Amino acid sequence: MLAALYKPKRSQRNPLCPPKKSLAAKLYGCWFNPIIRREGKMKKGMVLGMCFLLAFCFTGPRVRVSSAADEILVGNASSLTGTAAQYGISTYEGLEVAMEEINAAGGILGKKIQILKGDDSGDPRQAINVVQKFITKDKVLVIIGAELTGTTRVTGPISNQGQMVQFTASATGAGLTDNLPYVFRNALPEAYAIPFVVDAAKKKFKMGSVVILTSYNLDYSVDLTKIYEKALSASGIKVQDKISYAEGDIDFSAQVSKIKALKPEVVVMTGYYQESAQLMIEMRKQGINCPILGSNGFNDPKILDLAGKAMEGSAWASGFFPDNPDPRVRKFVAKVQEKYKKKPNQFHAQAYDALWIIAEAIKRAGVTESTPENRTKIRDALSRIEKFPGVSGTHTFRAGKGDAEKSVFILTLRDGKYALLD
Amino acid sequence: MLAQQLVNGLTLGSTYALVALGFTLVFGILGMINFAHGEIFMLGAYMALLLVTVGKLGIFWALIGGMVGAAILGMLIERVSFRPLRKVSILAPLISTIGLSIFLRSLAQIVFGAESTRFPVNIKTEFYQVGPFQISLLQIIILAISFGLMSVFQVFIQKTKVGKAMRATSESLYTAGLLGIPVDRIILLSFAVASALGGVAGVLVGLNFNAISPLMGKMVGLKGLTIIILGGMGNITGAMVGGLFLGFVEVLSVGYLTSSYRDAVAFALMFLVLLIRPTGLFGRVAK
Amino acid sequence: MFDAYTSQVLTFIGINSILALSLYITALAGQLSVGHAAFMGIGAYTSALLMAKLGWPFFLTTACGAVAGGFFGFCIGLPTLRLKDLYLAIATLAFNIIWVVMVMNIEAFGGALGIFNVPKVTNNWIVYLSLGVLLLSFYRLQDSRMGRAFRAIEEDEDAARAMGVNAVYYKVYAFTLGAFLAAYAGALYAHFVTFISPHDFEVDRSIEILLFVVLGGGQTFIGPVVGAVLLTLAPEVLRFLAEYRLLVYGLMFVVIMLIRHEGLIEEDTISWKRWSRWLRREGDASPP
Repeated sequence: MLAALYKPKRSQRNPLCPPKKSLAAKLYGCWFNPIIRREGKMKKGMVLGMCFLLAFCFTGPRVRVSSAADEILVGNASSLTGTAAQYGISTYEGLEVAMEEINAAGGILGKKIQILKGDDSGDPRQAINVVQKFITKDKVLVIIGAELTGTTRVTGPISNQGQMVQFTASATGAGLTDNLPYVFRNALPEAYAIPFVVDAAKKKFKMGSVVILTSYNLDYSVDLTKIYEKALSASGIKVQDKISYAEGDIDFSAQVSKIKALKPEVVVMTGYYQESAQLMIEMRKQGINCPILGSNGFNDPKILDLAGKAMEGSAWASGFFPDNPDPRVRKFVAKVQEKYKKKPNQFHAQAYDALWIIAEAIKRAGVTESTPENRTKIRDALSRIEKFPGVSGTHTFRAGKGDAEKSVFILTLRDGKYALLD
Repeated sequence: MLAQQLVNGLTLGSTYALVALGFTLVFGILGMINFAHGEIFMLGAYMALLLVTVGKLGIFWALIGGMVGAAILGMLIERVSFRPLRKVSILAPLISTIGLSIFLRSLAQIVFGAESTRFPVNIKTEFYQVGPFQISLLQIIILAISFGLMSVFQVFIQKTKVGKAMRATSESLYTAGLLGIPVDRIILLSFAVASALGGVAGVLVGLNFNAISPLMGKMVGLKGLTIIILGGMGNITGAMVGGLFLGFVEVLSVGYLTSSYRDAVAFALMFLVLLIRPTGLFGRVAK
Repeated sequence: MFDAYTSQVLTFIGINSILALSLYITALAGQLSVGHAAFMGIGAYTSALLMAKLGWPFFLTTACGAVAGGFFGFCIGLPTLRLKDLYLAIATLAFNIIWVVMVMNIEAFGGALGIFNVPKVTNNWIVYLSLGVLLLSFYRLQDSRMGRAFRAIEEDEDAARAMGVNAVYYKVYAFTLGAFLAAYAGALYAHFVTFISPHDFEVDRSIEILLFVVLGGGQTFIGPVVGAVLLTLAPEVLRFLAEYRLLVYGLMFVVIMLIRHEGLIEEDTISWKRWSRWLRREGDASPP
């Protein structure tokens, strides 16, 4: 037993014995096998940088989800990233402007509104998760969204089943509100707007033969092409040819040369604004000067930025006329210009109106807590709103129909400014 | 229309050729693909845009700036994705560059906005009629720059000492090292050159179409991959000829077949080549 | 039992795990496929269309979807046998893109609009039962003849061939099986999300599946599942990152390759022997 006293300390037992590493050090050394460490002095800074990134992730800006006791939560399901991000961001900005105005005036029934962002990247799968989370976890009072036709189509039934009002300010596909009493929209369905465009164009331009440009990998464009075809044939106009391109293409010279060989009197564009702008520029470059009919995709002022003079004389349907002399519209335009340094587009305007309309519905229903009964009251109040004056027109909802009735503006570009086609 | 389409194909093809050269250089030397090359193409264009709009410099400086910026980016990528992972496996750098391409694309979207941005062009749109062809001044400039660069590159690779070192390294890394060639530096240099070419292609595309977007690198990168497979991975002539070939094929398929199959045509060709002759039309049989 | 949101997330975790395992099995035999989303899409479309046009029951349509996927896997796997590593990855990538373009152009499949109102049949029971069966099979596979053949081929195909392993048979088998499983997961997906379009099955989705395996570790069958779980939860947990999500996602690939390129779960991590040796502090034991 005395020998135990003379037992040398573990570390001194064998000078070749490696120093004992703590458990944590062992785990780190064995678990993480940094090639960078083996290779020498490479970026220690890189590891440091990664630690910063992780730290930022876990302590960085968080979306505040406060309890619903003192605030009204509105969920915004939209595409803040991805190819349709430009539309989603505009929608959110429109909501923000409305939210600030409403809160500055004291909120709804004394409570302030807070908007929760829910990014779905335009992906239906993510949209489902976003909406389901809004309904089950965040317990929002109303959902504004989704941004696109595809995402709205899948999420509408979910909101409907969860007895949650879902209001889209931008999706224009057919039948999105059919048989779904909780789904509403104030965006103009294309099937409703296009016949107006064709009628107005017929009066103004010669439309002997028409070529339609389709973005074949965009559901919105494929849908719209069918609608245009129907409207054109109903007016007795011949569709000469349909030419397709892909969303994301950068080179359109081949398609435009084909158009040139066909010599149509009018060209119809059915895609989003990026490719449409490119096509217009290429068309003018190759000397094709016929008028162009557009779509909802033309409703972003960025298209004017990109296409410039190439856009002169084209016509399309819009729910919003930015140069409308109505004082309410002018105030709205000034506010957006001041806050975001850009002119508002249709998405800003419709989202702005959407939040105001919903605020009105909530006020009429007189409830602020998110329960199925209360949300049903809000739905009922919403479907009874008539002649609501918005910046994108006067809205009327009828019982049983989720689409708002509002006016269609046929816009054109004249001398670099938006004007009504007459 | 055929004549016009041929001109279109030539312009498009020369851009593709420049991008493909970048891919093929990297593959020739390392045997690996840099998936982030498409993003280098895109960022080269954005750097030129910054120089023109913020720096108020002319087109010439924008081109140089795009090249230099892209070259620096390429070297960074080499240090991050290729040097540490070269010895691990062939697929590790591939996966790393896939991640980098996603990262760079979203970075560009956040910094520059997800939308297209206008690329200011200060060249008058004059058209010249040469027989049945109608070609614009801009297109001529673009063709001149592309073919000029390709010729300079050929001279560089064939006639200069550094070019010889690069060729030696691409044949055998190990032997080149034994012979005293500073292999690491040569690899870094090849990345710089490859990325510079990609960046210039981006600027030229911006000039040609007046607009650039953060997403334009994705498809172009994949098409570049197609080209080097067609032309033979690691083969420089193959990349140039392949690029022009793909440009023509795409444009003609749009003009005469249904244009919605345009992308499928390119990739179907690649698939066939992979099955029948994986080394490409110009490639060596043994590798 | 669970609220609707949690239940939904669990279903996605289950489906993604099956997808990850489907890629794992092709990778087992040394074949990296960057086109698995196409097989997933084949299963999804087949099942959705059969139910819509012919009114067949769920189990039949799902089975047909899986078989269709397996069939295409066979068609792709056979001719690409002699392609190695990088070339195979690119070939599968090309197949994915071609498939997407073809489906976009065919009206009968809905084109770019996709198919909606697919009946919602998938639930957690079906998904997790399938996953359980799969995991059990993989566990048994490890020590079976086929499992060893796969490992031999992955290590060194020529040596395996020299030892009498029928590489052709096993490689095609692995590829077909991987496609079969991916298609099965696709059918489950279609009947859960109720709306499918070609965009759901683009190259981005293949890369997502690849990341499951890369993050989780491609050495054992637990790895891909862990990767799938973590990466399905990540967008939900990191929702506050919003616009920065893709940034982090891409960066993750790069960082993982630098720091732990084998993935989170290595062979040693789940080896009972290593754990017990370390716990008992034998000799030069280190943590697995």
